[in-house]
Amino acid sequence: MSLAKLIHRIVTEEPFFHQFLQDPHAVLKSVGLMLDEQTLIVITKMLSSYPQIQELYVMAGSTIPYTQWES
Amino acid sequence: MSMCISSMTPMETLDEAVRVEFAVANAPADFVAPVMAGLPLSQEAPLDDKDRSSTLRYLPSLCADALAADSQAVAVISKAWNLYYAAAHLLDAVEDGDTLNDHWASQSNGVNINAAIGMMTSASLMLNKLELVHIDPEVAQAIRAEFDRTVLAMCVGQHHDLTAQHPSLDQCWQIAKAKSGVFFSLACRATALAVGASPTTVEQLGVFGQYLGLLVQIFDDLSDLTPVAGGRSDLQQPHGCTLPMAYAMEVVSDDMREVLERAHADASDDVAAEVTAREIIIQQGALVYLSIEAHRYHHMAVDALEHAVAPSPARTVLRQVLDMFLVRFPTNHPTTS
Repeated sequence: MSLAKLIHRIVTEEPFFHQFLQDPHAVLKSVGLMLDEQTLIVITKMLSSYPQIQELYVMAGSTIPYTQWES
Repeated sequence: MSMCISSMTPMETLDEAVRVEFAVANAPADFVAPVMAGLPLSQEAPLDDKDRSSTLRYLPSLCADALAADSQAVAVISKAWNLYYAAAHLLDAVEDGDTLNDHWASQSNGVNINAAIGMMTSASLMLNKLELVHIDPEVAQAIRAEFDRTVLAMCVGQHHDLTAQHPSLDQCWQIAKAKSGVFFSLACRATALAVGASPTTVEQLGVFGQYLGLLVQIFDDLSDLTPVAGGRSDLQQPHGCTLPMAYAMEVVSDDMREVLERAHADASDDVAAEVTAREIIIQQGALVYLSIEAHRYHHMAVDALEHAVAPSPARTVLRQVLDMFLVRFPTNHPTTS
C-alpha cells in the first residue's frame, strides 16, 4: 500500500481512522506499509489535530481560496 | 549608449554589455524594456504572504546572505535566474492557457513567447559574462552548465506535463520535481558555487532548494484547485498534471473514477461539473494527503538548510520562506457553496 492509499482509507473509513490514531504502528504493519518515524509523526499529529474526519465533507465545494486558510 | 564603460562598476558593465547586445540586434524599446524589467534588486526580501512569488525571487540573495558572502557574482546569478523564472512563468501560462497579468495580458501569445525567448537569451548573455565580475573561469563554466542542465530538465518536465493524457500520481511527482524542484535547487546551488562554498554546502543548499520547489508546487496546485474571482481553476484545464487530481484518480473506486473523469471532462464550460470534480477530489482526501507530503518536504528542507549554513538572521529568513509555503488545514470550516 502506498502513502496515498493509506490516507485515502483513513479519510474514507472512519473506523480505520480511529484505529490508526489508536495504534499507527499496528495499522501500518497490517497494511504492509513502511514509513519513517518522521512521516508517522506528521500524519498522527495532523490527524489528531483534525478532530472529525467528517468535516472534510463540509469542505467539499468550498469557494474559499486555499490561500485564505488559517493555520 | 552614453556611459563610458571604463568608469563603471562590474555590475554596470554587465548590464551595459547586455544592452549593447540588444542594440547590435536592433531590438526595439518595447522588446527590451519588458525583458529587462522586474528584477528584484532591493536589499531585503518582502516576507509577504499575499505575494509569495515576489519573495521567492530573492532566493539567490537570501542564500548568499546565509552563506555570509558578499559577491557581485550573486547579483548576476540573481538576475539570470529571475529572467529564467519570468520566462518559464510566461511560457507555462501561455502553454496552459492561463490568465496572464500586467503587461503580458495585452499581448498576443506570439509576442509573449518571443519575449520569453528574449529573456532566456538575455540570461544566457549575462552568464556568459560572469568572468567580468571576477568569477574564476572554471567556476563560471560550472555555473553555466548548472543553468543549461536545469533548463533542459525543466523542458523535459514540461513536455511530459503537456503530453501526458492521464498522468499517474508518481508521474505528477516526477514532473513537479523536474519543473519546480530543480529550478529552485538551481538558485541555491548556483549561488553557493558563485561564492566559493564547499561541495557539501552546494549539495545541501541544492537539496533545500529542491524541497522548497516541491512545497511551492503543492501550494500552487492546492491554490489552483479553487478559482479566484474572474479566474479559472486547474480543473477547467482538460489536460495537464495536478497533484490533487492525480491523487484522486489513484485512490478512488472504479465507479467514482468514472464520475470524476466525466466531471473533469465537462468542467471547462460547466461550473456544476467543476464543483462536482472538486468535491470528489477533496472528499477522497487530497488535502490531507498533500498536507502530509508538504510537512514531510518542509521537515527535510529545514534539515538540509540547518546542515548547509550556520545559524544567522538570513537562515531564519530562509526558514520563514519555507513556512510561507507550508500547507495548512483550515480551522474555519468553509461552508458548502
